[in-house]
Amino acid sequence: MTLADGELWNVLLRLSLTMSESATARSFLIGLLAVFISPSLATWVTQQPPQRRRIAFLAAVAPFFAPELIAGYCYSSGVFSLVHLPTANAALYFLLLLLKTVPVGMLVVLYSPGSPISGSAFHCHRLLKHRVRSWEAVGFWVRGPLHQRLPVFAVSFLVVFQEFEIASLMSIPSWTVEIFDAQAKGIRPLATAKILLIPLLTIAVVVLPTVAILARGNQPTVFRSDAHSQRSRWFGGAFVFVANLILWVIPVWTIGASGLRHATSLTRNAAILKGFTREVSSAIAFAFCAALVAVFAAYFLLNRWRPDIARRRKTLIIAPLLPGLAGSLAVSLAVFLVIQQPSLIWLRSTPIPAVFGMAVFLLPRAVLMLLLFRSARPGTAVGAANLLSQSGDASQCSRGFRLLWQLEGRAVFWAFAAVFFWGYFNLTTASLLVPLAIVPLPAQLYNLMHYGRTMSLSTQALLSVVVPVSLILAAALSMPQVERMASGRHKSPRSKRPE
Amino acid sequence: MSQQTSSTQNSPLWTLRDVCSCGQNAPRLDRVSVTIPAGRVALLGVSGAGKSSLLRILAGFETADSGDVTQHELSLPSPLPVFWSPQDYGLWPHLTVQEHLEHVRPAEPRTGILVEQWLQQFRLEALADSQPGTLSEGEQSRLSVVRALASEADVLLLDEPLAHVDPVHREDDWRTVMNHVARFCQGVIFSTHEPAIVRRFADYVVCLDRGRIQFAGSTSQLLFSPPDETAAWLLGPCNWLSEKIRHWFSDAKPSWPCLRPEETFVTPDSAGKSRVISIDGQGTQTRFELRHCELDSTIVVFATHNPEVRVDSRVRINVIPSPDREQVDRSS
Repeated sequence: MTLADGELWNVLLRLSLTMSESATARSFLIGLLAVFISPSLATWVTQQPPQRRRIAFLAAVAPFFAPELIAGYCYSSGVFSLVHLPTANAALYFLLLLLKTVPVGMLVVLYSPGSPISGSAFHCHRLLKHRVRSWEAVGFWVRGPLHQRLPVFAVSFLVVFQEFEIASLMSIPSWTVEIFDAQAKGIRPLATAKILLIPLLTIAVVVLPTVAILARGNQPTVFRSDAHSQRSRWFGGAFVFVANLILWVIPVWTIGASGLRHATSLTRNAAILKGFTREVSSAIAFAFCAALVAVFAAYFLLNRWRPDIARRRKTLIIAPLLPGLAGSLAVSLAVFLVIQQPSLIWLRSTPIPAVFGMAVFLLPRAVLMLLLFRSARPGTAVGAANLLSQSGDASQCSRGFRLLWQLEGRAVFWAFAAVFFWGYFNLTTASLLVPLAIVPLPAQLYNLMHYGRTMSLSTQALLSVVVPVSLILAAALSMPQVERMASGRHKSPRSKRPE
Repeated sequence: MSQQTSSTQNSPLWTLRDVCSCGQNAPRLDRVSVTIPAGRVALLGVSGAGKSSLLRILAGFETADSGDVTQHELSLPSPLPVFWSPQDYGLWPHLTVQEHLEHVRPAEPRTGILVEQWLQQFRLEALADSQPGTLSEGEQSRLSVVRALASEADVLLLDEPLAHVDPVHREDDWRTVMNHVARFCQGVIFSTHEPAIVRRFADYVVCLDRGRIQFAGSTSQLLFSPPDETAAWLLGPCNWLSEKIRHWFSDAKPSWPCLRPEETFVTPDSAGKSRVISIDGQGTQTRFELRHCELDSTIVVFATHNPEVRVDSRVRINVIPSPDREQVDRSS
């Protein structure tokens, strides 16, 4: 290491410490807020009439899917930009992250394992409050409400702590931005690893106790709301409205308004159109492959999970999810460091590191999505459909396969669609791991967004959202045909036997 | 029982050898080796004994962690060999009640029973357009069972069927299930906690205790010649006769280890050896607490109710062996 390198490393290390502290404080605060707001959101969703519940659920989780690049672009330039007012800018960034994070907290509230002490058991204990010592009450609180809220805090903390794109575009100090910029300036791999150490330790401090609690595996996926009040429901509804307004409506509206005006001129410029098509195609290809790997791995892991399996097996199932929880930047940097080894340097010119890194990052999200989409039906319903699909009666067999598709295939499809969408907008993997000859769309948009708002960029940003959404919608609309084909093609194996 | 069932009764449906299924703290199934015959088979055991785990493995929903599970060819080949009614009903949340039955019904049903008739038999016709999420536990329980029947599978696996059905209708519903099994199935394997159901509807019983086979044999065998007191109690109250207790009996001392209440009679007798301390219950399972007049010790006897017996009266205990017991004795 040269002297210049050593000084740079020291400066960066100090900077990283300061930045990770502020990111830690921000993440801690948003994590705490999510703990209190998420149950209201969950109550708002679960208290909807059955016919409106699905739409309410989609509306509640939509802010989590809002692309960071688009939100960052919207609020870093143009009329909503507060970059010249640092405090207000930091407050706006805090609000954006809060609105984006609480829906994840809601998913955790709805689908994480129950606490060892159920709501009713906790209430029974409270009825005996005159006979209970205070330290016993604390023990009950730790194994009851806190047990349930810790995963909400941990997941919210992680989402905020590893955020990069919005912070970078809005010029918010953050360890992710500093490390990414240092990497771009060509810092040595070892120095990168050292700088990453503190943030990764912070993540480990939050993640490991939560994983230990989740691995205990109490009765899964039962929502026990202790906040059924009218005020709580009202607050949940208002939160959903504001979050969607700020993270979806305003960005799409403002970018779309100028982007649409320029769309025709973009189509006339063959060079820009060709470049844009190439960038979109590469982003789609990488996201598709990574999502495929992540969903397949998530499906494999979830099918091996049972609440009553031994703790060692649970640990083996949970372990592959942990690297992804450290965030896309940390995963990408780790893979980047590995492929710098002389024996692996040849991988640098292949898509393998990018697909692998993105899949590792997407794996915990794929698990979450599969849990989410499969939670509507018991596993035994799939078992019953599976038995029916083995029938020698052609119509029973065909209906069995159709049921399997409806119960399992659709869940996998929507989990894949969600994971694909995240992968498509994943910036750090696209920037760090993709072969140098390829520039996927997020990397290109990110580079251009630093130069302020232009009509052409707005059009590209708008199209960057429209393209994957259209692809997913087209695939969703063609599902009934696929379903018919699948059930029609699966003639019973028994019916083919000679009499 | 119908010709179809009785003709296939001795042929085995499954053979399990050293089957293990791991659990969190203890194995759910621990080296289970058993042959499950055709016919009406009950799985008995306390909660957590491994009944549902065994049914899940037979249904192919779970695989054993070790050991062999062999499903034998059915003597009469069938398009749908097995269907399952799981403990949590396994209903398809996006289908209505009627659609559940339409989905499982074969193209040419050999029972000739229409979907509407199935709904009527299980009192679900008013709920035909409802989805499972809106049904009560009892209704879901009935739908899960009627779906299994309408599938016309040759072997039905029923995990605590009709557990939440009200007592007024449960008897009728069970009879409907068993009539269907007798006419159209080669076997039914059901788990239950209700001794009366097993005694009435099962020909063969497999008892599980902490994941191990405790007993496998005919229902009469478990009723009259159980391996131990715990197994005996799975079929309802019994008088487990230790050496100490035998001399309480007035007549010839019974040689069997287990007497059922319907074979045991407490009758007033001024010269009797014991005095009644308390009487609880009615019918064939009345609980008498007796004190021995000479030994100053007390025992509890389950016997057929006798209105002539009053508290504090002197009594004697008589035994009239069930005719079925002789058959069991002969066969063993």
